[in-house]
Amino acid sequence: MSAVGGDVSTIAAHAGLRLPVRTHPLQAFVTNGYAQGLGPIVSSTDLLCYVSQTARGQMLIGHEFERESSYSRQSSFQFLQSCSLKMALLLPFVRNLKILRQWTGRCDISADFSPIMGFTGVDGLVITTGWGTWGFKGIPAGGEQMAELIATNRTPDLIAPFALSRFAADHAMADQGSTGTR
Amino acid sequence: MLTITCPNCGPRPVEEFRFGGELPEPPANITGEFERDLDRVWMFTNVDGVQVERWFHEAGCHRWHTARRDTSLDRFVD
Repeated sequence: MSAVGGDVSTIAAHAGLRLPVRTHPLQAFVTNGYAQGLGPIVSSTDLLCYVSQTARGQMLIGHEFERESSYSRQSSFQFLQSCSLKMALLLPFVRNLKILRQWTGRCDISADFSPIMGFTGVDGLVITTGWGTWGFKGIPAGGEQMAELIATNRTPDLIAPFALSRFAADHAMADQGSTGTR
Repeated sequence: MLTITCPNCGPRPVEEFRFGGELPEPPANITGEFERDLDRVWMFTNVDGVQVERWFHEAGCHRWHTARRDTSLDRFVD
């Protein structure tokens, strides 16, 4: 099974498989500590940014993935500028916090922004990818369903719409529940 | 990557441009007409290396150009 976030196209290429996936950098940063009080994750589908508070009280802030596909993990000042501006509009009190550190990771973005799960057409290779948008919500259920797929060698009904073959069948979809796209 | 060299306008800030994605190029071993169309529309090489891609100078001359960029370093190459 291929479940390699960020390098899925490279791994699939070894099996002669081409995927509707692009790799984009995703940046985030944390601020210094603040009194505990922000329970939920706050995210805006208009501003395309989100914030949550860690157990240590730091505000974890990020926004949409970078527009240019890239494997680079270079962090940028432009990101800090645009993301902190958006967050100051969403929650004005964060203007008084200081930025502690920032980092960059890689995201698999599928062509219709929904995850891709299931058989690939290559014998013995199954795949779960395209989680680069809002995967943290869907991946526990996705993991269970993939385990069932491998154990029974058939696709469970719940993840059948997310098969790789949906692109050839003209059933591409932007699933709001798993991606947060509009 | 802070600047992009536009063939018409010269080096300009990256914020002026819109990324148009990699140039679709179905590999030669895909021969069927439907399979080539499918590959052209949906599939990406998504290479960890030099990628041929399209850029649109949205806030400038409003023209597309093709450039080569090393995606592992996020730098343009000749």
